[in-house]
Amino acid sequence: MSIRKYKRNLLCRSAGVIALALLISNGASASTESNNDLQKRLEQLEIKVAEQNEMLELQVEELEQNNEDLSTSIDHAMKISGYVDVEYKITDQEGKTDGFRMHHLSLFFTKQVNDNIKFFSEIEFEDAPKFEGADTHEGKIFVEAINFDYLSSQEMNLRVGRFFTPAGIWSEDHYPPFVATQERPKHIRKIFPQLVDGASVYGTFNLANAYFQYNTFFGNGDSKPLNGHNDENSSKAFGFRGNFIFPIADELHLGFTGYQDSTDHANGDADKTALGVHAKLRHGAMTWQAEWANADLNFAENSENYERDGYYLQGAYKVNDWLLGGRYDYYDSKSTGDNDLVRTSAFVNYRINENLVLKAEFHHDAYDKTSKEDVNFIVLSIVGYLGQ
Amino acid sequence: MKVLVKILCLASGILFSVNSFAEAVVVIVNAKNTETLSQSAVKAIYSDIRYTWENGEKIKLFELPVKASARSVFTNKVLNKSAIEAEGDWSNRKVTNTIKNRPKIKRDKLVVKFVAKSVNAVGYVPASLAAGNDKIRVILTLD
Repeated sequence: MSIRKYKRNLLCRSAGVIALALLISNGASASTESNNDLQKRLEQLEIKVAEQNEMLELQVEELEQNNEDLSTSIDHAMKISGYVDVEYKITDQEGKTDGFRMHHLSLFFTKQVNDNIKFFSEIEFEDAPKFEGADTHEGKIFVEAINFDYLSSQEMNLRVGRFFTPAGIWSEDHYPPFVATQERPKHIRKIFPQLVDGASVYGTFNLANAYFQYNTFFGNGDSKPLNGHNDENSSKAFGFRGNFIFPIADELHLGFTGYQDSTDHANGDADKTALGVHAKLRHGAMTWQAEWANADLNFAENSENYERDGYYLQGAYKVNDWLLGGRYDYYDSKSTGDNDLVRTSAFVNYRINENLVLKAEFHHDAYDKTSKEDVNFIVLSIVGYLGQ
Repeated sequence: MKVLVKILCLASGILFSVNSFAEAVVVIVNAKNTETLSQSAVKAIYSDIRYTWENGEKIKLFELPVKASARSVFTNKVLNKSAIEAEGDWSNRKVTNTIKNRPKIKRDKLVVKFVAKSVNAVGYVPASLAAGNDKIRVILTLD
């Protein structure tokens, strides 16, 4: 029975009892009972009503306590969510055919252990892998995140485990249900590593009307293949991202990232130093987003040093449930070579509801410095967020 | 042609009526909470940028269901976003594991009750639900 119904019932019963007492009281003049007896009975009834009220209050308190316990238990329960995306790709690249791709099925397992500690993990199934006997396996199963956070205060918190490198914007904000394109800008994950196996300290400071977010981290450094078991060398990688948020237009983010790994196993044990800057401006229906990053790779004496460069500028305009936009994207994987790539993209998103989006995107890849042929391709996709 | 004009008038009438009849929304805190919050501070709180009160206590954050009309008014006026976009931002923070202060989603009448009960709570509700309640304090009115 709900508290409201219980209260209503009790009020009705109390009113009935009091009304009966009053009726008895009114008829007292006609009855043979003395006024004193009636007075006594009325007092007894009042005591009973008071007792019942006390009981009711206790029961309401108990129910409220139960609700709070249930709410806490739900808050601290293991939660499962995820996302999924299915694509159809049309391409004019030689040797490639058009077709469907079961791109991602990713599952998140999270748990708020207590008020200060939370656990987060992500397991990604890419290209719907099938493992059976000694068959050759396509696709991958990948533990992309597994970490604990100790939430101390707004200014300082600690994370330990595997997490996406806090670098620029797209490195973390990359999930298909919440970005405009299935294809990420070309330099993402190639200058700063995709993941960190390590620890980070992060927080936010209030600066009058602005805010400063920081994230400083260290870890094993990038390795090839990615190794969650141990470090490939004794040197550790360090990084820092700072991000200012100003109340300009609707929101302006300006930030920078630095990263250093003296023995980068994923890049021939180079001494790698990477720097990046990023900006994001939202004004009404228009959002501009840009990132630039550069990595300086210094090798032992017998190898040639080189740099990696990349940047992009993306504009997106929102009209009701539609998002229209374009991106100019540049990536040079090796400054000493001629493999510069310029990608121009156009995209349309239609958001069916808060969890489901349809996307159409066109990309043109141009390799200006080589004889490599330009490539055009279209990706049509349906992307769903599987959480609440 | 006349039919088309009628349909357009009807459609625009419905559109404008939705906006013009939307009730004012108020941002509320517990009556014992003496802190003042500007609209930009409320925006930072509902953007998950700021998540503690000045005394360092964690803000207990309440949201309305995404289909509640008061949520649309709130997100449009404070965040300059639709309710669906704002909900998408919370989901994005969840999957990127950057969420700092997960809000509790409750119906408007419950939000009033919870805010009345907790000194660290903040929520927003239709103005009529906050009127005459001495256990809560209105810190911002969004007409």
